[in-house]
Amino acid sequence: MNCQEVMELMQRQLDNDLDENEREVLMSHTRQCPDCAAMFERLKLLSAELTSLPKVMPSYSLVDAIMPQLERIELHGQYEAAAEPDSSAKEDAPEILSRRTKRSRRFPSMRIMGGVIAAGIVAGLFLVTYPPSSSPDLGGLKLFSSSESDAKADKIASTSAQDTYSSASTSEVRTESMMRNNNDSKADAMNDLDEYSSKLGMDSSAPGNPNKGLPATKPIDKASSDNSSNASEGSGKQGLVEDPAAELNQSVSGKGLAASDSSVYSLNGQYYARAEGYTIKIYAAADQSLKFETTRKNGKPANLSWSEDSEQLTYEVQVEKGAIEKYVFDVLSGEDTKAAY
Amino acid sequence: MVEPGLIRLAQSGDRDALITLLREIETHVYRTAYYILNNEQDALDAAQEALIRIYTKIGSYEEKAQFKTWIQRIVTNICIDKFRRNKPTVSIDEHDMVFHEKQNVEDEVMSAYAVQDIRSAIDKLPEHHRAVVVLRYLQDFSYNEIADSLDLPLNTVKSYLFRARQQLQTLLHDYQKGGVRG
Repeated sequence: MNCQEVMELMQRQLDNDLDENEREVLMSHTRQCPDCAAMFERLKLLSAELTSLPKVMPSYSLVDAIMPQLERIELHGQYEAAAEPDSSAKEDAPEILSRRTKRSRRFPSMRIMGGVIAAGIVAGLFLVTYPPSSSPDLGGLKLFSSSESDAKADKIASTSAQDTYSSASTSEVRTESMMRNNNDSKADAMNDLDEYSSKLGMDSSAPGNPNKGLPATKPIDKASSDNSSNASEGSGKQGLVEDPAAELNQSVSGKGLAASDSSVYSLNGQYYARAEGYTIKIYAAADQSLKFETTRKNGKPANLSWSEDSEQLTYEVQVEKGAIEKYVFDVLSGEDTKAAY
Repeated sequence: MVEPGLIRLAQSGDRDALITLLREIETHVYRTAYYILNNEQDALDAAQEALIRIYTKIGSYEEKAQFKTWIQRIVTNICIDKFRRNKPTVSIDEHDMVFHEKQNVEDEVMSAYAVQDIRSAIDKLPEHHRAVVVLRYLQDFSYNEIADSLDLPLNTVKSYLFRARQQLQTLLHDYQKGGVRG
């Protein structure tokens, strides 16, 4: 055994990590090797010194010092749901705020847009009756042109609907950030923004989201579940604007591959699952009732996917430092287990 | 160190339990911050930030992890973030462990190192090596507990600890030889 290997034994001996045999090897080596013996002595001395470093205490009560901050946090509700501060999310927050402010300047009145919304609805109903996938005959061409104008109308209508809402949410978020001074405030505000924007269905990448034309109070989950069970009935009931993008979403979720913030349907259509904050909620597709809810995870669940027999939902949780935990939720047993890789 | 019952009460929304819990851990949180940051004021700030984060995130603690490693993870993360912003460090030899020098054994007198020397030597270690040393010696953590706290593989923890001790030994040895005592 060479000195370098013995070095590792010395180190482990300092942590009481050696078994009887290894200790014997170490001792017999240091008896013959003065360099190693000296090194071991020095390391033991160092380790003893480190062990006896002063057990410092804070010079005042830290909990008393942070009490006012804790009280402010308490006043503003339960913020433990806030996301782990994520630098990219922080950077996005101001940008979203400014984008919204710009919009509310451009479209100050919702009433003016009323006619446009109505036009959008008419165009939307037309689209539902004649799906864009129909053969490219004359009717199909007409449809194509009207679907374009519809998309524009829908965009304008939705923007104005958001504005009334976003100006309220913006000021609220700002007040909160001002009042709470700790590092989490940005992440909290970001989280609030996320919630607002998901309620609004505000996602610039999908301008045709059917919820956009709706009053903001309409819950998004109802709309999306109606979509899947019966698209025409759902849209008829809500007087919605329907468009190809929505149909695309629907077919994607049917395959259980939907984007992280939308519902993922089991293949037999019995359930749909959705990540909500730090948990996953599983609903019965038939009556939209909540069937299961997983425990809180250390990060936001994503990549939901159903097994082929629709009995298990697999999902991933992004925890700190980019690590990912994988879980399997079994709808028969109701068990939520951490999956091995 | 902290009663599991108290943790559960705190998680269920009992604010008094949560405050009691924070009082029980504040010294441990502070001690880690103090030795990682090597500065009382920074340590006070970092420890307070950690306690606030523990307060807001208590709901996300899951019992499968040890509570003490969960809180040390929070405080070391905060310290390492602060530390990155504040100061550059010497690089440590990341290659295989070797003797840095042939030690001169003959008339070495073993004497206690001054606390100040040890602290300034710890201060020269890179952030993760330092955190490993602090958890090992100030929190009396096992290799596994350190690995859980810092989210590092077990072997990495060992090699950081071993290299750190070797580096400290070399630095302190130099201090003694040069008579540069604090």
